[in-house]
Amino acid sequence: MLSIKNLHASIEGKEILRGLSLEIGPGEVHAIMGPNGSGKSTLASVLAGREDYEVTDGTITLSKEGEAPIDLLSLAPEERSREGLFLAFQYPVEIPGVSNLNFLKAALAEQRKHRGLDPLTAREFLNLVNEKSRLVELDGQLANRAVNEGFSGGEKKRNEIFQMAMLEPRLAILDETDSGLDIDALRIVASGVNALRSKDRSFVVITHYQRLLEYIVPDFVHVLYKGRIVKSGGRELALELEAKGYDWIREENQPASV
Amino acid sequence: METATTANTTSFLEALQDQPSALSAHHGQQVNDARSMSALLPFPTTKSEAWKYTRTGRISNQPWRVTPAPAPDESTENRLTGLETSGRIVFINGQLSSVQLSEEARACVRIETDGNLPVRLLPQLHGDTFNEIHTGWCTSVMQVHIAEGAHLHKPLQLVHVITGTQVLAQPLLVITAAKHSVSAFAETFITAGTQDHSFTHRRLWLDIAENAHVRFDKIQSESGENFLLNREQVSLKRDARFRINTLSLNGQWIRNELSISLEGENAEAGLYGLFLPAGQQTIDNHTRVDHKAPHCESRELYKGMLRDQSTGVFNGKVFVHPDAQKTNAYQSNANILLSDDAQMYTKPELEIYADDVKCSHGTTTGQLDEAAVFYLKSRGIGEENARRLLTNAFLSDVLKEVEADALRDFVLRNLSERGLLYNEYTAAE
Repeated sequence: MLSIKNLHASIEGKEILRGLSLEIGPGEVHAIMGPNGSGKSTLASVLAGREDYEVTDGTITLSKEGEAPIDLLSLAPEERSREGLFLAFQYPVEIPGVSNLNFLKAALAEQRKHRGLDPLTAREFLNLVNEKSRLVELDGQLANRAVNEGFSGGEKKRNEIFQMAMLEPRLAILDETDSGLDIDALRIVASGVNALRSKDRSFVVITHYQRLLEYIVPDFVHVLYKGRIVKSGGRELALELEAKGYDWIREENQPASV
Repeated sequence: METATTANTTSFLEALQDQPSALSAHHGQQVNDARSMSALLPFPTTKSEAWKYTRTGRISNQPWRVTPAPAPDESTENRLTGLETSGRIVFINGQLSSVQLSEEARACVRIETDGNLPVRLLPQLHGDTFNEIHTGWCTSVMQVHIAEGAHLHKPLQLVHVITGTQVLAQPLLVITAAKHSVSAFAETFITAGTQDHSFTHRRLWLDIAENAHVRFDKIQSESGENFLLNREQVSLKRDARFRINTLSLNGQWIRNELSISLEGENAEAGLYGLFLPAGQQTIDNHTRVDHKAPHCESRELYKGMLRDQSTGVFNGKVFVHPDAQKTNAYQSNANILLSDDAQMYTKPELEIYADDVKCSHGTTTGQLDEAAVFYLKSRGIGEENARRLLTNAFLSDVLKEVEADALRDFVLRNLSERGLLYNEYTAAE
């Protein structure tokens, strides 16, 4: 599904990712954990195509059975999205004056055009909105309001998952989707994500906290430290990190031992 | 400098000397005085504060002509199809060409075109260079009286068409809305082709009596080398309501001077504006609101979106006079520069001489929010459409104030044709 090899990326001349490699298969859920400043959000930004980051080395390949692999780095952000990549933002952007519905209608129309499909009719579109907004218990009112404007923290995150449900990506990256959520909102967001799990859809869940992984149970857990994946394991690795913190990771990765 | 500008006035006037003024028959003395004054007064230069960013040189050094109105043809036909009106009044090159009123309007609208103004208005014929020239070579006078208690919900359409070159168009509109009346106007400034060349100075005096409501939508969309000056003086009596939307879509040089005087208690005025200069265009909005009575409210919102090497000016003055206690006055101007070479000059001014008032004013000038552009792109929306969605959003605050669907459609179509708009058509491309 997604293959990241030896990825190096920097911002304003400062190298953040230093040879990151990761293989994600279809239907898998990978959690990425790590201390502050280890490069988690940078990875999300580079995958989505944020222009502030410069990729200096490495490759990212998106593939699907029966289709030619795609060099993700050669694509603009909107093209990556149309190829099935979705980033749930850590800080969703408020866009006054653009209604959530018009925004999604525009996004869906372009996604469908890319796949050679006609735009949905108004009725089809509204049916889809109703169906998907229930998934994250998003009030119908929110769909009509301006994108994220005046939304609470929890509403913003639910709106991200709602958009994901509408766009049906093949690879979703959740960038600290749990940060700032109370336990009820966390449960709603997680159950929305779980409802979207399928054998064709993969997830990268970036988080600080083990708690989210109680709700979204990952197949793999990776520890990102100083721009590289230094440890990988199953779900039990997250519990170990929760219990022991990150100090042992730091000790294991002293410059002398590298 | 003084001699140079006077010389300009002279060259402007030479071509006009013997041409008629629509005010001559009844106000010959005023016309003669105005012509004499025109020769003495210089054109304003960028040295004066009010004209600091808007040059008049390309108006003052041209030999303009008052031309007889050509017969209406296809090129001067109505482009606001679908607009349901109470009537349609067409000016071609500043000359009154046709007046059609619906049956409903004929019962409550009286129109006079003989140029005989009431004495109380005569002082307004004079003033600065532009006013003196207007009076000296006025091209038509139209007085519209809305009867007491009349209810005209469909707008009276006022169409100004320019066709030809070196055209001087100087119509004077006087509108009185009598007590308890409700009326609406939709005024458009258009050109027949793209080769037209004109200077239009349209003056409007609008008196809104007690408890009368007036809505005024103004659309300026002239292509080619045209200079458009609009001067509006509006007075509101007790409980009167006034709403004006000034939509400056296209024009080489546009200057709007809107002055509103709230003279009776509980009067309310709303001033909304949209200006979208591109290329080398200049669009200048000068507004003035005088709060002269207590318990009045004014709301002002102007939005500018500037492209290429264009220039935008906003100067909004609000005066709260000593007796105008309990005034609510809000003023806001927001601008987006879509190019590094566009220039916006904005100056909100608030002068308050009463002590129990609520007033606010503010202005912002910036660029499209790049974080928002990225957010939209990350959902699959292409760069162009992402930017159009955001510009739509920026303009929507003002566009939603336009009540008639056909007018709003006209504006949206115009924006869409110029690639400024996100809509189903562009999405489906």
